[in-house]
Amino acid sequence: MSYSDEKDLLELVAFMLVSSRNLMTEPARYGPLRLIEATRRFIEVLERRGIATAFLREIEASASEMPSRLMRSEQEFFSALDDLVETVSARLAAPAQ
Amino acid sequence: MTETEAGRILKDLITTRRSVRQFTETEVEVDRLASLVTLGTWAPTGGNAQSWRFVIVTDEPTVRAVHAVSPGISSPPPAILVICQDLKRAEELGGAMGRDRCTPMDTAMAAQTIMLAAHAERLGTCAVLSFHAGAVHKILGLPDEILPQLLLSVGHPAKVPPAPPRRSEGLIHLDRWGQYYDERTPGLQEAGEPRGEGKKGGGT
Repeated sequence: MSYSDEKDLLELVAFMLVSSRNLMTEPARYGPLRLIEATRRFIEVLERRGIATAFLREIEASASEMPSRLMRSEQEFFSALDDLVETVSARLAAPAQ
Repeated sequence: MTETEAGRILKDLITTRRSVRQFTETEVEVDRLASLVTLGTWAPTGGNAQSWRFVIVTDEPTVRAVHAVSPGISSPPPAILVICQDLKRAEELGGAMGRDRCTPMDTAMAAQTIMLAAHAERLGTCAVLSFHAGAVHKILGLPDEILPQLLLSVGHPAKVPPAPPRRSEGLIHLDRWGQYYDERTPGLQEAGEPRGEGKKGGGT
């Protein structure tokens, strides 16, 4: 693994560790946001290596909208998150191509 | 009420500023960022302590490092303004109250001034409190007495989110708690709506 590869992954690791630490004192509703952000950043790491599929890029785009949705309305956030879970579930259930 | 041109512009800036989390890759010049910081220093401070210190971060590896330890920042912005407080100075001038209660407020008032000034220049900003102060301290090489209190992401907006709805019901009380001021005041109206004069309403 190259230095830049390790640094890229370290940034994700740092994000997850700091999130874990900070969530002990942050509002509970930040928890879902951090998990969504970790998802988004993980897909970004894959993108930088050219191994993110179009489907994953769509997930990343949807995930990036989530913080604004939660700030506007919890209902809107839950609904969009349910849609995203259903989309991913449908993909998981799809037969291999 | 006669509205001055300056008042109209200020109201427009206040009501159209948004927390911007997605930026283009266009850089923001350091001189421009420094000018915004200078405007921020016109914000009031408790006991005129002026104990803030600011670190402008535009160097990409440093931005990425700060971003990595700041869960509140979505994507690495072109620049991060780190608003710090010199706790030693704050305590010398204001005691425990100055150190513990004034510094967060002074930081917040400077931040809002900077964010409005940035918005006036069509720059987007987002105030971020979700970061690890110890990690930022280490990454930036801050002295012991300097505490990073708030981060501002700054850049050219790639996407401006719509305004979250503003609370109005039960928001303003007149003379005593429970006597509601029942008209939305001009300052609480959404941008673009006709501005009313507001009036005193009957209490409940």
